[in-house]
Formats: sequence, C-alpha cells, structure tokens
Amino acid sequence: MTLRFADKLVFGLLFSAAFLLLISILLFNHGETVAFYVLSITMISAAMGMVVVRDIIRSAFLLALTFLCMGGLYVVLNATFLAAAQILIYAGAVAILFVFGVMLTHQGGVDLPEHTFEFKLMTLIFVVCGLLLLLVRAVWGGMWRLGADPMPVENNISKIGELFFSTYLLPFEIASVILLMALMGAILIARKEPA
Amino acid sequence: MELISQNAWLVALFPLLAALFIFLGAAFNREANKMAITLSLLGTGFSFVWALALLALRLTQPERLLSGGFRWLSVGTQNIEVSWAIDNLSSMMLVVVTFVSLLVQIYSTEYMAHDKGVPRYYGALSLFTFSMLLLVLADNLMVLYAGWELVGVSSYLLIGFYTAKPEAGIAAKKAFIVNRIGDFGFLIGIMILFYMTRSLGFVEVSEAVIAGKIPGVTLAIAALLLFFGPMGKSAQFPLHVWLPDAMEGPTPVSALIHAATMVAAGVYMVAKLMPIFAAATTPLFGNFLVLDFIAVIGGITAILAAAIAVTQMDIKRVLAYSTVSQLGFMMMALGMYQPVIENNVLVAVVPLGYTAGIFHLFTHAFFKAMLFLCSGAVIHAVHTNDMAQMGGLRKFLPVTAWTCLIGTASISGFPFLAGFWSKDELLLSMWEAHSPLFWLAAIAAVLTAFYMFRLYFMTFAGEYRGSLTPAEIHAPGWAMRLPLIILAVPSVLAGFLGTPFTPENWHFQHFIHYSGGQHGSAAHHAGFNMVVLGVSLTVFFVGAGLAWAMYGAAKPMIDPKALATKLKPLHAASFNRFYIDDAYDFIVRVLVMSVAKIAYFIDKYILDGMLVNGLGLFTIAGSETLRYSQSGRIQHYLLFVIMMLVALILLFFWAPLGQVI
Amino acid sequence: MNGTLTQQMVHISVQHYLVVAAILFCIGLYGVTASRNLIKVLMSIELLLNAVNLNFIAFSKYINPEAAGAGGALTGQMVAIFVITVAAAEAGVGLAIALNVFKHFKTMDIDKLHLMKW
Repeated sequence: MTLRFADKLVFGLLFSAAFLLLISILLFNHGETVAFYVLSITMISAAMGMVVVRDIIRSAFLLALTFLCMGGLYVVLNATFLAAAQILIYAGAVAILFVFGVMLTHQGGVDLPEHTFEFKLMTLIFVVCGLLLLLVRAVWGGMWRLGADPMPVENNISKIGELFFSTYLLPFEIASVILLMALMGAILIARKEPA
Repeated sequence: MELISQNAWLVALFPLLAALFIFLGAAFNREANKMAITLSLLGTGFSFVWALALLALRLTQPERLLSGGFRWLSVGTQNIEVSWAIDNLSSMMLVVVTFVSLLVQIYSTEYMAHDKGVPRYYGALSLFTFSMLLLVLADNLMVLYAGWELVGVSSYLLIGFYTAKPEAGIAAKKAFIVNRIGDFGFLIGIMILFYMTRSLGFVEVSEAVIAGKIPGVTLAIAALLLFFGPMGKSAQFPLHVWLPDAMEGPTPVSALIHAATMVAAGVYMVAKLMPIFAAATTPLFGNFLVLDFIAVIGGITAILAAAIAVTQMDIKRVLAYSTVSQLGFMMMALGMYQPVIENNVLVAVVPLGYTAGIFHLFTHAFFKAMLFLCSGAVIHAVHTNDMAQMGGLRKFLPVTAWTCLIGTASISGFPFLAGFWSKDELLLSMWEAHSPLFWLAAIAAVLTAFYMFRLYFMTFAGEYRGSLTPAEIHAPGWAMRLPLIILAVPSVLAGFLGTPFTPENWHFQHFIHYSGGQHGSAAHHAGFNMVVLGVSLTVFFVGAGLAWAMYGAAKPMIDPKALATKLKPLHAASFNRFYIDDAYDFIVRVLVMSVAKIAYFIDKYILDGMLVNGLGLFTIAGSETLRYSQSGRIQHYLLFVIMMLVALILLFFWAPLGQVI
Repeated sequence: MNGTLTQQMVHISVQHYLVVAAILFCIGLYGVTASRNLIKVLMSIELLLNAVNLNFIAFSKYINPEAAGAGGALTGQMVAIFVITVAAAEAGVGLAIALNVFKHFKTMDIDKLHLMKW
C-alpha cells in the first residue's frame, strides 16, 4: 500500500499527539483528563475506521493504532506493566500477525465485498441503539460505590510477579499450556499437507 | 321341598343351560334339530316342574322366604347386589311363563318342521324363557333391567328369525329400537331412584319411598320415567308401533312373546313397583298423578288399538292389535286408585285395580296364546295370513275352530268364561274409582267383541274364498292340536278363581293383592255391581251381534264394504293405523336425519378437517416457513443472538439497569 | 456522579472508562456481525477482547482493594494479563484456520461458507 502524503500527515499528527500526551501527563495537573479524552477519541475513531474501511491492510493498521491508544490508556490508569505488555503483544505481534494473514490470503488491495445495506442497518440498530444504549444506561445511571480513589500501586511489576507465583500460580501454568497448545495447533492446522 | 326352596333360583337356570348347549351344538351342526328340541323341552320342562313346586310352597307355606342374593360389585362403600325373591305375584308368573313356553315349544315341533335353522329357534326360545324368568325372579332393579333387556334381545332374535325375509329384519330392528326408547326413560328413572336411595333392591327402595325420603317432585318424575319402560315393552301408545310389525316372526313366537309373556312384563313391572307409583302423590300438573297418566295412556292405547283392529285383514295383525288393546285395559286398571285425603291434602293413594289388572294378565295369557296358536294352525293350513282368502275352515280344521271359538268368546266376555270374569273385575275397579275411563273401556270392549268375532266368522264361517283345493289344506297334527286343547281349559276355567262366588281362600285376590302402603289394601269387594254387570253383558251382545250381522250370518245384514265406503275417512284412518307409523317415519326421516346430517357435517369438516387435520397442516406449513431461517451463515445467527440479547435485557433488566450498584 | 457537567467531565471516574469500553465493545460487535471478510471478523474479535481488558483495568484502579478479589488492587490487571494471553493464542489459531479456509474455498468471504444451510 502506498503511503500518500495525506496518510503520512495523519499518522504523523497522531503520533505527535500521542507523544504530547505522554509528556502532559507528567507536566500538567489536568494531564489525566486531557490524556483520557484524546486517547479515547483517537481509539474510538480508529476502531470505527477499522470496521468501515474497505482496504483490509488499512484496517489492520488502524487496529494497531487502536492497540497503541489502548496502551496509552493503561498508562493513565497506572497499569504500567500492562501497558508495555499490550503494546508489545498486541500492537507488536497480533497486528503483524493479521498483516501476515492478509498477505498469505492475498486480500491486500482487493476490493472487499460487503453485506447488503439492510443487513448492516439492522445490525447497526440493534448493536448501537440496543446494546450500546443499554450498556451506557447501566453504567452511567448508577452510583458506583467503589470507595474513594485508592492510592495507586507504585511497584507494579514486582507486585504482579509476586501474585503470579502465589495466588495466580495455577492460571499461570495453565496459560503457558494454552500457549503451547496454540503454538502446536496453529502449526498443525496451517501447514502444507504431507505429500 | 327343602332342595327346591333353597335353590329357588334354579328355575331360571335350566332354560339358560339348555340355550347355551343348543347354541354350542348349533355351532357345529346347523340342523341338529332333534338335539335342540330335546334340550329345550327338557330345560323348560324342568323349569315348569320347579315353578309348580314353588307355587305350591307359596300357597301352603306363605311365611317361608324364598329369596337370596349375592354382592356383585362394590364401588367404595356402595354395594350393588344381585338378588331374587319369589312372592305370590312372581310365583304365579313363573308358572304362567313356563307353562305357555312349554306348550309353545311342543307346538313348534310341528309348526317349524319344514323350516331351516330350527336349533337357532329353540336356542332363542330357551334364552327367552330364561330371560323372562330372570325378570320375574328379580328382587332388584338392576336384575329386573337385565332381564328386561334380555327379553328384548331374545325378541329381536326371534322376530328376525326368517333371515331370508327382509321385512323380518326390519321389524326386529324396529322392535328393538322402539323398546330402547322406552328403556332409556326406564334407566333414568332407575338412576334417579338409586341416587336418592343409594340402593337398588325393591325392599329398600319401597321402604325409602314410603318413609318419604324422596322429595315429591323427584319421585313423581322418577315414577313417570320408570313407566316409559312398560310403555315400550307392553306396547302402550305411542310406543306400540313395534308389536304389529313383530308379527313377521313365526307364529309360535308371537304366541309366547307377544301375547302372553314378554309384553306382560310391563304390566308385571308396574304391579311389582306399585309402592313407588302409589307413593308418587305429587301431581304432574293440576290433579294429575303418575297413576292417572298410566291409566290415561292405557285408555288411549285400548281404544286406539281396538279401532285399528276393526279394519285389518291380516289375521295376525288383528290379534296383535288385540293384544295391544288388552294391555291397555290392564294398564288402565293398574292406574285406578282411591285417594286418601286428610285436611284437603292428598296424602296417599290406595290402588284399586291391582288385583284386577293382574287377574286379566293371568287369563289373557292363556286365551291369547291359544288364539295365536289357532291362527298359526290356520296359516299352516292355508299358507296365507290374509283373511280375505279364508272362510269356511270349520270343515277342515274342527279342533282349531272349536278352540278358537272358545278363545274368541272368552276375550269378548261371553258369560262365565275366563275373560268375562277378568274383564268384569277391570270394569268394576274403574267403576269404584269413579273414573270417566270406565266408559272408554266399555266402548273399547264393544270393539273388542266385534273384531274378535269378525275374525272368527271371516276365518271359519261361511264359504272358503281361497284358491287352494281341499286336499291341499293341511290340517294340523297332534303336536299342534294338543297345546290348543290344553290351553282351552284355563281359558274356560281360570276365570272361576275370581268370581264373587269363589270361596275366600281360593280367590285370586287372596293370593295376589296389594300389600304395600300404610293405608291398607283395597278390601275384597264382595257381591255384584249391577251396573257393571249390565255394561259387561251389553258390551258382549252388541259387539258379537254386530259382527254376526256383518260377517256371520248366511246373508250379511249389513254389508261391510258398503259400511266402509259410507264411513270412508274413518275406515281409511283405521286401516292406515291412524297414520302413527307415518308420523314416526316423518320424525325419523326429517327431524332425526337433519340433525344427523348436521352432526355429520360438523364431525367431518370442523372437528376432523379444521381441528385435527388443520392442526397438522398448520404444523407442516409453519415448519416449512421457519426452516428458511437456517441460512447456514454464522453472521445471520449472530444477529439473531444480539437481537434476542437486547430483547432479554429490555424484558428483564430494564428496571434494575438504572439502580445504584 | 454528582456535581455539574463540567465537573463530571473533568474529574475522570470509573464510569468514563466503562463507557469507552462499552463503545469499543459495540464497535467490535458490529464488526463481527457486518464484516464480510473473515480476517476482518478476527480483527473485530480482538477489539472485543480489548474492550473487556479496559474494563478490568479500569476497575483495578478505582476499586476498593479489600472489595477486590484475591490479588487486592491488582486483581483486574492479573485478569487482563490472562486475557491477553488467551487472546493472542486464539488469534494465532484463528488465523491458521482462516488460512485453511482460504486454501479450501479459495475465498475469504464468510457469506460463501453456508454448508449448514437447510
């Protein structure tokens, strides 16, 4: 896919906005608010773009942008280790995986067929007017009694490490088994049939 | 004697066993005539001996109880028993039934000699004898009803005996169906009584009725419904239409069933259940009690049937209508009562005609059976039923002619014969009750004498009008003549049991009288009543004289044909049986059939078509439509899931959605 | 949430994050349902999982540590780690299957995969 000037401009602006955000969090008192809004709006636009854009490679990259913004949000939420993990794994591996998938199935640059307008409209109505409104109503209407904002946990990584080997030991082991299974399974499924 | 009294019920068993064995044997050999005849005669013979012994027991040791029973069925706390009892009335009936049955079976050995299927005939006759005896023995409404239905079945089998004749089958069906109509009311009456008294035994029900446990209106309705049974069985108006058609059966059958015994079952039942009828003192309307209803129906029947018999040309039809008429007389008598009034309120009735009705039943059995057997001999001789083809048969069938003359005279009320005394008793009971039906009965008696002597003269007197040569006229043999002669004896002498001169102990009333109720039975009335006697004699002479004038004299003084044309509408109405059969035909054809057509339509198109088939078709159509939603595309299914999820949330969680968490 | 609208907008609380996560979830759901390309569907599934992750981590910041689960304040983050793990594994396997589909049907159009039709 050729990177046109407009694309370059857009991506450039987006990345600079991201950099600014990261700075502002440290510098200004309202950094949190600004960071939250900029990151959320970017993320949501990128997600919408991902679903709507016809070229699937652009979709893949917009998905990567979504992941990056998500990582930023994790930083605002003081989950530093997870922010790193998100960017490493999602933006760094899963998104690339999708690109590879597109490449191997020759879908890049191809004009993708779409559903009928009626079907998309139906989905839109039920998902947006239905589910979204209900969820927002559920969330926004109530008073969430969660206690006052607690002190942020400073040393995330060591705490997480401790938890991995105490409370969450079993899920940790099972997760590694899952990863092994996925590895073997993906190889088995996708290989060429032995002649 | 001990043996007999302990096993009184065996009187009914012998013919049943005979019937079973006959039918069993007939299954192997259709024409096993000798076996059938022997078994049947043995069965009925034993029963006759047993019945005589039981009668003797009742006469000599009246305090000895001849009853028994067993529990047949218990539903919860309710017991249904089968019980029998022999009182005076039953023992008399037992003798009559077995006696006439035996004679008819002897007679049939010659009469049915040339017919096919004789074992079937004797089997049905034995079955009938058993059923009638069961009915008479019954001490329990259920056993009575069982016997009632069984005689109906036997009658059906015997009327329809000539399977080659389609009219016989139609007549058998008609008899059964008309009877069924009556039995329906009878059954409902029984059910009402059972519901009210929780018992089916005569003794318990009578006691409950007399004690006043049943409210008046209910009792009146129950009694009225109970009477429907005798209306059907004893051929009372309007359910009399089956009896003339029943003449399609063999003549001995007509003699036994439709003259002497089965049709008498209705009269017997009214007499036996008289405590119930007498206790029904609540009027149906005005002052009209159930007993009045019985009497009026009897009266209508008597005069109607007599009026029809006057113009009939078929010898058996005349006798059939005569039977209907005589049964009407008996019912009239049974409906006569003396009201007991206290403080201007009717509290009880005393039946007046109980003994008279039964007495006439007793004598009628003998001479009517004999008359039918005579007509059978005549038919056997000249091979036709039509009286227009008969005449002057006195020369060829002397014994038959004499016995027929005796029977005719008896039924018409010739002085000192049996019928005279019993008819006199009937008229006396009506006179004592001051009933206007007395005059109706008198007119009917005139007609009776007239048509009976008309029958005699047309058949035996004058010149032979038929087409057979004298050699072809086949006189009856001894098997047929003997029963006639034997029956002639009671036709003459039986009446002497009930004259005003009879000693107290020998009198019929002493043996059979109404003993239920608190106000005592009607006292034995002694002496003559001149008015009644005069009426009886006048009736006889007028009727017989008129018949002689028209048919008997060498030169008829009044020409029947001229009289018929002068009274054309009356004659036509009488000849066409007053169009009652046509009315029934209309009712069935138009009313019943249209209802049936509607029911058929509803059943076929609405119930079957719409509901049953429609439901199936709806299921098929629905599923064929719904299956297109399985498109195989996951995203369509996912959309359905999302839709339903939204619906579920809206349905169940709308209210909690906005709450405080 | 109380206070004026500006105050609500400025002071970020857990509800803001939850709403963002809800919006993301619905976008992902729309993508799964209305995309005709198999790979796009898989990408939308990743979006769903990310929305869920955001939910958990938002709670992990704002919840009372005693009221949280076994890991104290970090429970949400632990769950999110495992979600990431499983999501990655699932993405890998899903793409492998998608490759197989492409090999077999020569197309990535979901609408063509209707063998279970009536």
